Amino acid sequence: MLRGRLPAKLVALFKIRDCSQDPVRRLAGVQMLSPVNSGRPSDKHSLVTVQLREDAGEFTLVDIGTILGLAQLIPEGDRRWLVNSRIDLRTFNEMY
Amino acid sequence: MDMIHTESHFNFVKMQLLSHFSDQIRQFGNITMYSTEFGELAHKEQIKDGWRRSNKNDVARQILHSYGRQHAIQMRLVNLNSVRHRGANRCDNVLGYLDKTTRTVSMPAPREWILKGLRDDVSDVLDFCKVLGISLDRICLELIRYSGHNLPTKRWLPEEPAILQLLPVELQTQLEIPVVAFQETDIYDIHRA
Repeated sequence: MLRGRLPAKLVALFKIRDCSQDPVRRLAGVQMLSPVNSGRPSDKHSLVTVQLREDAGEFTLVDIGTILGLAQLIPEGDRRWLVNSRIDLRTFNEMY
Repeated sequence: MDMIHTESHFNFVKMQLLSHFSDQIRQFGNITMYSTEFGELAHKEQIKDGWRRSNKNDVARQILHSYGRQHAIQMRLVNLNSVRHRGANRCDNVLGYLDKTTRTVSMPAPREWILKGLRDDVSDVLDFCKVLGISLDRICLELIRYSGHNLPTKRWLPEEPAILQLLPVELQTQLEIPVVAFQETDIYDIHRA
């Protein structure tokens, strides 16, 4: 279902500039997650469950260009989330 | 009116089917698991587009060849982009060659990732750590790791924490990403976070 994409939880978005060089780096701080049950959707709710990766640090930096799409994460316990890929993101953004 | 009353009933097939839904969902899972979206998408990309490109003679063979070539080109592009991403330290002429190679194939218009919502309480890496509640050491280590893995050697960020903590940072609150709309190749939905 994730079609090879790595799930992650977005923590921060920022730009950083090294004064000695010109380009501004646009970065995202994320927590890397791993799919539960090999990324297969649950029979009950047909959503993929993800959990914090054991080997991941609390904060990993990635270029924002590597983010391929966004989905709402619904908490399910301390370290697990359901990937709500069904919500209409336009409506979600207007509501929240 | 009497005739309507005597002939009105709910004894038709659609209502009968409703009574089986709960048992069948328990037995086979929910209906959305059996999505036909992928098949429909394949029908458009693999068959309809291939048929339009063909000269309508021996169409099946041309459709198969067309999709095979298209798939091979897409795989090559993915591989080249992967090499370019990993090879930040490769010499410039190789990267230039890759640029030239990838640009000769028509691609969708460039997509833009947009950051919005500047927060004015963060001006450097030190402020950034305080706002996020993450230690300066952790952020510095991560910046150095990112720099080493993703930037060319000439553009590595400084490794001394004393310099790193003073680098200017703009903390943003919104991200907009264009994502290709379902069954489209050049129309994008905007995902916002």
